Amino acid sequence: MKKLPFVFLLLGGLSLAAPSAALAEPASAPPHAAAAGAPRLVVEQLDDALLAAMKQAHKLGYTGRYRSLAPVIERTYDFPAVAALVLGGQWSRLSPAQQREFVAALRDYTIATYAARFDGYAGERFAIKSIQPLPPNRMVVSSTLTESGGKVHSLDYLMQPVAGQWRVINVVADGVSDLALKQAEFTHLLEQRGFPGLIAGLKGYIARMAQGKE
Amino acid sequence: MGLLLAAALASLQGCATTGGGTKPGLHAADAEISDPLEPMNRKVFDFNMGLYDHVIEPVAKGYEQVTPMFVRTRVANFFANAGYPYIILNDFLQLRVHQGLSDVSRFVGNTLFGVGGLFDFANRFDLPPHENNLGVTLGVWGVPQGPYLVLPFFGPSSLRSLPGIPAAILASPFYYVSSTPAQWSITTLGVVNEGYTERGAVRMVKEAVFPYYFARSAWLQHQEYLIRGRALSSRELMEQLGPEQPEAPPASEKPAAH
Repeated sequence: MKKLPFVFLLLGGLSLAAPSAALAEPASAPPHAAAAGAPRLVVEQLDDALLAAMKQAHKLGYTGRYRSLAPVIERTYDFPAVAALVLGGQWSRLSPAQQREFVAALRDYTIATYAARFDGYAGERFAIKSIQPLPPNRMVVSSTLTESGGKVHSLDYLMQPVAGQWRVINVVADGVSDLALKQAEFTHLLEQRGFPGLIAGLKGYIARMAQGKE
Repeated sequence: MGLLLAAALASLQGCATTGGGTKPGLHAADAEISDPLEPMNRKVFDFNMGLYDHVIEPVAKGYEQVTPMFVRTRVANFFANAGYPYIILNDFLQLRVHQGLSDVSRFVGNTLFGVGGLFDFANRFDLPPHENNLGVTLGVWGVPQGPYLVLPFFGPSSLRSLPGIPAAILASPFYYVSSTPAQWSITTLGVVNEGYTERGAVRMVKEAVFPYYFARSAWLQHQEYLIRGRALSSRELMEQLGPEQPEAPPASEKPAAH
């Protein structure tokens, strides 16, 4: 990533205004957050995988980055929950088979986005700033991505537990919610072109990501 | 200028009360967007994308090929630094004193010790760059957004942000350069630099599943973020999940690949 002009357009997060105590890990974490470090670990593993892919970007190529990032991203995101949130009320109108197809396409879309965008390294660094509980059962991991030129981007990960594992359901980058971006695009596509059009749109995007990327 | 501001603000109040152009039935995040001029905006959006494809991008690629990275970075730094009087003005109009002082230090440091802004001297002293504009200032003052607009050449905007264009021009040091040839040269280089530095962002928009809605959502969200002082509350985080939070499918319905 030689330059991150609008990193918030990728997938993102945002530093919460009040620092310190309000955002610190709670002294008495609820039972479901028994390991308050668990959400942090998920984000750290994603950051580490991204940095590794960025540093070897040219050696790996797009396909190599896709393969190396895929397992980490699959562990990081709760794709079924994200899919339901993205489509909102339209989700329940899909058949179970269509829901599964959409979740799979969304997973490929996300991995393709990471593999295509994180395509170089110029001294960028990630840092986790705070972890905040969000009742009843969610957590927000606030982190930053600092460009080599000093520009700092905020990345907030909204997470929830799924079968005992913390997973990301939204990322907000410099105030731009990835969930809201997907809602804006996908719901219009679904309304205008139906479910086949939505899937075709996602597959077309994945093909564009792979095309011409090193 | 005063007339333009007054006219824009008056129109804005009118639009805020009518709230026209929202689309019931869409997701909450989208339903709040006022885009009554969408058909026209989409035509302008296509025009801008075409302009980028056929003029700006080829020129930016040529610029990249004929100049070394060192030169391109100095040029980008120079134009970024020249934009700071406008940013600082808005910092203080919003009473964001700490950010304003940081940006003053950045501008003075880079201008004096960074050879007119060619070198990013301030970066060594933990003075990060900030974004700001008059649309954000008006938002901080409580002026409603008004309808979303896509402007030829300028891209995403809104009625509230329109006065920011002449304000940015007037606050720029380049406006006060008396030589016409020098002004043309600076403007031309500025456009080339913009095409070069923003190519990553434009590429993301072009590659999106639905570029128009992607760009609109990203721009509007980012403006709101700047208005909030680059902060996001827990309530806003939850609101982004929408009023309905449908249950995800049970584990048995998850694709095998998971």
